[in-house]
Amino acid sequence: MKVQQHLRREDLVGKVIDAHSHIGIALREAAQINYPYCSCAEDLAYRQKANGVDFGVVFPISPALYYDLPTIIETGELRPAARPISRVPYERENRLLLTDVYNFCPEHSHRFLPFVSVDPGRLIDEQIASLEELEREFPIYGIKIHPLMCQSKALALLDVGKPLMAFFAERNWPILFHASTDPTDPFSQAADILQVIERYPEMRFCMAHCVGCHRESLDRAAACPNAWVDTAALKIQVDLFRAEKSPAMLDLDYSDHTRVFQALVDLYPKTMLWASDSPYYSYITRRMQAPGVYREFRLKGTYEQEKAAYDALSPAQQAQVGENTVRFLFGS
Amino acid sequence: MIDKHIRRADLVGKTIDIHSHVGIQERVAAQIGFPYCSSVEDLAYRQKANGVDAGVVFPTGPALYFDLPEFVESGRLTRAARPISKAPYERENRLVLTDVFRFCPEHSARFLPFVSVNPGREVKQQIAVLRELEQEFPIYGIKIAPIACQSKVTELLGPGESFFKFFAERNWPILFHVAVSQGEEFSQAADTFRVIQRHPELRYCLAHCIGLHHAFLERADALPNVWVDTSALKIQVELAFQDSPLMAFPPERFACDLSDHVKVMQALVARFPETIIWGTDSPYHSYITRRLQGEGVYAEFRLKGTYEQEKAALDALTDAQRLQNNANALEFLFGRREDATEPK
Repeated sequence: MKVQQHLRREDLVGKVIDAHSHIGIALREAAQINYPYCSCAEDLAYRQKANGVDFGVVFPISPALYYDLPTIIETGELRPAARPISRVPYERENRLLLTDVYNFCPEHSHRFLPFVSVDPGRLIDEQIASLEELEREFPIYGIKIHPLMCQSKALALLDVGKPLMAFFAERNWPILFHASTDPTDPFSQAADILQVIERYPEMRFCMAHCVGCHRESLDRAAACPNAWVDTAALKIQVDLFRAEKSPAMLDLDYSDHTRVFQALVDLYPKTMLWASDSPYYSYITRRMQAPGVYREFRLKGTYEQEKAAYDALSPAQQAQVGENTVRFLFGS
Repeated sequence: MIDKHIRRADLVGKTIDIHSHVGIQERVAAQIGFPYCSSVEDLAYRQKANGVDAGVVFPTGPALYFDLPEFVESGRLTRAARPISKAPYERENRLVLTDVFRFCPEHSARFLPFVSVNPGREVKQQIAVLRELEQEFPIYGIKIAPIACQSKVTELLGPGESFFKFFAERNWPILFHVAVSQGEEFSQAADTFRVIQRHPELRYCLAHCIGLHHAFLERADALPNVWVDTSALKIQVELAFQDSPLMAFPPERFACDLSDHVKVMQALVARFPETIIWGTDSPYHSYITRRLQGEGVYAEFRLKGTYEQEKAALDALTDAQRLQNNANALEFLFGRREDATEPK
């Protein structure tokens, strides 16, 4: 038996909603002296209050507690632990998130819509059993899937991960995907995620990080009535876009991330959502992209810079972005 | 050593949080306890929202030197076969310093980082690591939490003795976590005073109002080189109000109105004006966890407070009391202007 949701569509109408933020610890990042390495509900509440943000979608950072911790810290590789702390990927991390939002910080729970995370390709039945336990204790509003963080391909959802999709559809849970067009990330390719989206027209999806401003992917998402795109970590994404612009990207003024958001909302008014990716609006790390492939990031942004992108929209654009977010979360 | 980025003059008259943490708590997160993390940016938001100008920051725990799966499961610290940290706190100290000075340079003007040490393990290696760190970053003092290390504070009088010369050469003050509760075998206030009396050349601060133990408060007040912080006052007072064995118990308890932590702050400052220093313990102004206190002894905590409630205690003081509190913090951090042996 699911517990009753504590937030409803009407609570969110006309409000500023951050569609993408994280709660939890990043063990490898802390141990390897990278950034960011953590965030909790209380910290997010301070950021939101300081910036006039009313609500936030929150989900875990990583599934590390299912894996061998020393190996993750040393290499970034996910190797199942001999005696896993989590029973399945994300079991502890999802529980921490939900307990933080509802039990540890009840004074802030009215701000947060917790999503739970899943690994799209591993221990599917066991993950479903774990989610069934959680939904009996806590309201859950959707799913976040970060294929790269799980080192499982998004396309697994059309194969071994199919039962997950049926489980989510029964609950009317929207799905937010980390999405990339970076060729060094074989797990989260936007083209693969769009295949999943197109295969499940009855479900709602959001692709993160402006899908790298990749024109074809954005056009394809905008053509799907069940797909949205968020701006998470826009400032540092745009910093990257300036440095790594390709002909496949939209031809925009990348000198200023706030202008990029304005242009995206002009081009795709019913598709774009505003999101901060807090605390990942900064990213200073060496990330394993695939076995033996590492990528260095030295990117710095702030919640204020993320919010500035929202503030630069016209009131009509802000209203449209808010409506898009509510539709993604609750449906039409 | 590189130059300090904050000097005494920068902090005169400012609101200083003398006790706060930066880092992650692997075991607490995995066991669904709270709090489980804090970063410099997080602390900066708390400070700004509450009109706090500066804060002393240090790590949460030394887990990365130990066997992480074992620690997460049982709470016991046993040396890892291949430790991630070169010595206890090596990675955690570096994370605090890197966060303050490199990841968040926009906030570094707010923070005085202390480094943490384990009082008895791998002392030579710990000192070697601190020598490396001080070449890269300004360091303002030392935090020692014996229970977080599962090493008795008295190990400072044994294997940890060489720390004192090292700290004294740098004029680093030491902030001690202390306890008066039975069963907490690592951080007993009486043991901590033994350490302090053996090394009067250094400055010390004893945390958490020393469990509101009247005689220990008097003893600290009588020493010219010892201060006491109020960190996590709201939940400490709640414990005392409930007659928890974790706090001093009558007749040893400091006599005051325990119904409100703000009143306790006023009473402490009225009685020990030159000794009490305000600190929040952020994010540990809440504490919801099961902690290993000694061999096979666990204590359950279900305590909730906020940074706002901690700050309310300071705000309830008079202007003159707040100024004195600031002066106390500066003397602990930088030393007395006058002869250190002068009575308070």
